[in-house]
Amino acid sequence: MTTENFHFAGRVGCADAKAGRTRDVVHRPAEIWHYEADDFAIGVGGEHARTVAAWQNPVERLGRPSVFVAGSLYLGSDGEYGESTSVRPLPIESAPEVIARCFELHGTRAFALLDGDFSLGSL
Amino acid sequence: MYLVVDKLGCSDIYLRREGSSVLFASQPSDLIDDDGQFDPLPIAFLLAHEGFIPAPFSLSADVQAIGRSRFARISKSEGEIRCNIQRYWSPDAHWNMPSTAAARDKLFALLKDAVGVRMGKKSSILVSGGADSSLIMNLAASRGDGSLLALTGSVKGWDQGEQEIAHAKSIAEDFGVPHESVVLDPQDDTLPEESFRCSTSWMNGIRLSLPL
Repeated sequence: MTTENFHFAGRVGCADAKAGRTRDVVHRPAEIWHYEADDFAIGVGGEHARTVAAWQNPVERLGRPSVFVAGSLYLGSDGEYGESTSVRPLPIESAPEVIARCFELHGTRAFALLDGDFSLGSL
Repeated sequence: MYLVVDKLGCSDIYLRREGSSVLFASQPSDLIDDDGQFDPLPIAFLLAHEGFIPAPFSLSADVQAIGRSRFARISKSEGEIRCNIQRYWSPDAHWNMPSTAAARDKLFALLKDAVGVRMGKKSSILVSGGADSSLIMNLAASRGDGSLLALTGSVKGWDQGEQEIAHAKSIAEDFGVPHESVVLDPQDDTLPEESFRCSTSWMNGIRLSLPL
């Protein structure tokens, strides 16, 4: 038997960043990703999340969506996820850009194509 | 901003309205005040259904879960924060299943396919020694590439957890899969604060068999 330390990734955020509690909530975890624009803010924490996550820097996106992903991501051949849907894994490195492009092409319908754990910011 | 929850996953996203703001978090404990009031209705459901609370409820009346297959669109219009929750997916109820045997065969083929899609060069599987995880371990092991590792987690001093480890180890040996156990010690001061979310996940709507 072994004893291990666990560290969970947590995501917290706020809409209307002028509110008093925002700073307390968003800045609580050790951040590995931070998205903040206008009145929206989201922070991602968890030391080990660095090893299983990929993300885009919102500052470099120039109006395009910014995506944070963690864990295993899958892309369906269609949004039905039914009997004939085939699913393929998305390599973690390319997942943020694939999700961003899907969202630009299909809007919120893109969410049904995806299976996994991600955050998306689009303003 | 969109907050999207998996179709069938265990994790939810939690919202709390506070004044003109909407706070959100992947763990409800980040949003529940230390002196917050419990909501009696979800507590009754929790006790009656072995640790399960359905969305949109949480243990606190102030915190709402978005729910599976849904997204929350948070926007600002005319100086006001708006939060709109929509369902983006529903399961198709029109599968071609002419008989129970055909359904069983189809399910088995889909399980094999799903396991294959999720296996990489080096894969691990969480096993409890029960029927569900043993079936998945069998399917994964039958691929025969030798890259599989079976893991069982528990908490130190918990008898049922030790039994699960023993069962899982025995079954893994039958399948020829290496097995390791991970045991959390609640008295271990070096554990980060986040480790205690194992227990707070209990109120997320996730069934966790931990001594709480």
